[in-house]
Amino acid sequence: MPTLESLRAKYGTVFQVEAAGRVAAFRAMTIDEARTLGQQIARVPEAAFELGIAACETCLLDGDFSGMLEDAPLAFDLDEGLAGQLMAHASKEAHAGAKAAVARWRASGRNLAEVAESLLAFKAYTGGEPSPAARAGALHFAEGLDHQAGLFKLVLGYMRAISKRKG
Amino acid sequence: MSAQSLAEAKAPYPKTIVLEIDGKTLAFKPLNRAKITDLKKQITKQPDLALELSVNACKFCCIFGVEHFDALADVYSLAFAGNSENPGVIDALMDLARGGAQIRTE
Repeated sequence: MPTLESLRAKYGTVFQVEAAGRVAAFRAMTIDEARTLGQQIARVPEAAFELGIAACETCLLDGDFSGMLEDAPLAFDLDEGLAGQLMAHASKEAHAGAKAAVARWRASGRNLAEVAESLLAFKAYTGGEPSPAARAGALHFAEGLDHQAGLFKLVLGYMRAISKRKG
Repeated sequence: MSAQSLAEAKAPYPKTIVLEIDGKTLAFKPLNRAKITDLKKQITKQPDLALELSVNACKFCCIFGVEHFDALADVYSLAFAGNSENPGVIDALMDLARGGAQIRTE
């Protein structure tokens, strides 16, 4: 039986559930898994409870899940149970990922390749691994931003020059 | 005789809910996964029937005093279905189905 430390070393965040005298460990839900679960629930809201339990089962690392499910099914539901906590955690991770991507984008300055990479990181947060077409698109967009920034500076300089003349 | 019957009815279950109302004693077994799945499904589909569906779920779990259930549910439906201020039998059954869960993030 793996220890909690070994599971943490392998999977990072680990959720430990104690219910009805049993213990089980679960890995965190990935952002993609949470997004898929959210979409499934939106499509079939009456199946939310079963979908939440299936998601918990996917994340199970160790423990008598089926036994716990028999004795304490609501320990795993979306309202106050594990499925809800896994979703909340994934959502928090996604938010942190997006913030980090935005910060990288802001810090990337004039380096087009860095801007493109930051855009791709943001794309990865929203839709998985970028395709070659997405990479080309991000670079193109970065060039557009650079061009716009150049234009903006030109207009700003022109306006300053006009205001100085008037002054 | 009655107390013995209650003890017998409760014996197969590790935990039960006992309700004393209007001089009658009723006992309830825990909700199982299938019943919870069905209840949540039905309430999501027909939220206006939540009270009736909750009372029916309580009846499904009633293992003692079931002969009094319908008459009592007619008069004291909120004792079974509960509301936001006063939890009913269904809320106690839901708590039981949480198994005192504690979730820790490590």
